Amino acid sequence: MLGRLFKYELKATSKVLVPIYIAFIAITIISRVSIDLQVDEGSLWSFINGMGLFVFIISAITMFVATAIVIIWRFYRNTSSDEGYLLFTLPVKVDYIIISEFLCAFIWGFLMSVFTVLGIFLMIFNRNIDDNIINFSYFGNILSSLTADGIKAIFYLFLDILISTFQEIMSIYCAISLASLFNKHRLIFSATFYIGLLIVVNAFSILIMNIVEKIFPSGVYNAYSEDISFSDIVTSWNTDVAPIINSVVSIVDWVFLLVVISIEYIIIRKILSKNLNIC
Amino acid sequence: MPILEIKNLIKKYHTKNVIDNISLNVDSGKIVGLLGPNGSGKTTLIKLLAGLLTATSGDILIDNKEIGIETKAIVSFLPDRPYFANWMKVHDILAFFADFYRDFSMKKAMEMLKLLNIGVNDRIKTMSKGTKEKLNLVLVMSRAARLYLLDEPIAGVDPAARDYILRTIISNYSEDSSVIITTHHIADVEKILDDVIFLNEGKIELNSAVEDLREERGKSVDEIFRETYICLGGII
Repeated sequence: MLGRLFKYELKATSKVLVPIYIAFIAITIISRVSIDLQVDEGSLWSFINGMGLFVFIISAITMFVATAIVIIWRFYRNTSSDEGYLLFTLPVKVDYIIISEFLCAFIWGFLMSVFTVLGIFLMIFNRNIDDNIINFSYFGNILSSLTADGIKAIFYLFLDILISTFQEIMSIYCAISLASLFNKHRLIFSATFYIGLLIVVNAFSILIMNIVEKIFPSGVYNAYSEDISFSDIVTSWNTDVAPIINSVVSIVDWVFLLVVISIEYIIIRKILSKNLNIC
Repeated sequence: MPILEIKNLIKKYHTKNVIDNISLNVDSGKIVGLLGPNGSGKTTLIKLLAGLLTATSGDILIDNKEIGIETKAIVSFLPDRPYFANWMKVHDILAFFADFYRDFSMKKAMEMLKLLNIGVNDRIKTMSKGTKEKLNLVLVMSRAARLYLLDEPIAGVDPAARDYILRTIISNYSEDSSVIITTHHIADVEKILDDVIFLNEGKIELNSAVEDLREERGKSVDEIFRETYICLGGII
């Protein structure tokens, strides 16, 4: 049943997001080609160059906003409107409904991140302005210069982004679920609850980090004390940033975020199974 | 044996009891009319039975089970307004029902769609309100459910379609199953009803077999309904 719910959720969201993602890819390629066509330093080519970059940034923002709106809107429609009639009269566990929505939201968030990174890469790769810096050999040098700690830190950072994304989606769902307990102004209540959750989670996060700093000062201090220049970014990563990311701070942060995710999941589950209120 | 048992059911919104301490049983094989003026609690009661709302207190048992996955598998619910997403085509929604309901008969659905001249490739987005309601009824009645909950099934359709819908309801339910219908079109529906329940301000005003009611009062259900609610000062 989870697979079927996920299939339909993916299908419903694809109708909106796939055309937007295809448009982003097309715009990125066109923008890049228009920049590559530059034959001289004239003002017309500078204008085309600037426009290409501008259109790329706008399309990336559009993709981000559209993904966020679709993720929020789908959960809102499914828990607070007519479409909930269809979903919540199905003979399926509430857990499956939450997980299918969550997985779908995560996949779109992940795809958006991948497309954005690839788009940026495509736009800056081997550009005239940084011809000697951004090319294949440059990235090859970066990889070969990374120490074991540097690679571990990249892995940890990726894991941190992953868990933070989980927590963001769960906070959105939790806010919408809490707002569904009210019969009116649910969108306003959703936004209010989300801001509230954001403040509470961040306040606790800062508090915990302060405690960790006091207990493990070596793992936190000198984090960004040195100016990291673009040219020696790998060295700085290996020596300054990696020890902090690889320290106990990351683990405490993950544990904290996982606790928040669990609490939010329990709240959502309780509301959707025991206090469902589809008007 | 009753398919539906409700005991001391209360649903409260803020301080108001929308459903106010209701108790009733519905036996298998019955078509029951749940009648009442606007705001009497009909739709709230239907939503509670469908599992879309949670009761403040009291018990609901469907086929001796509390509201949950098991009851949702045997309850077929028609809401008072269509619930399809606009991006769907008819074949999408047919596949959806076939995927989630074991008791859904694709053959039966296709037959009914053909009779109602609804194509499987028709888009929900371009359908009229009446066609959406017909499609919704086709899906709901294509299930071999134990309890059908039909909230205003003939509200938005023309008289010819109304007759077809009522015939569909009669021909698709069996001795094992029951139908609960809420409607304002009592005169159209009363010919198919076995029992009626009159609701007013969340309370049961009357719960009787239609035959008994006609014999006792010598009037149609429609006439009794009008008398009841005029006496109560309601607007119908």
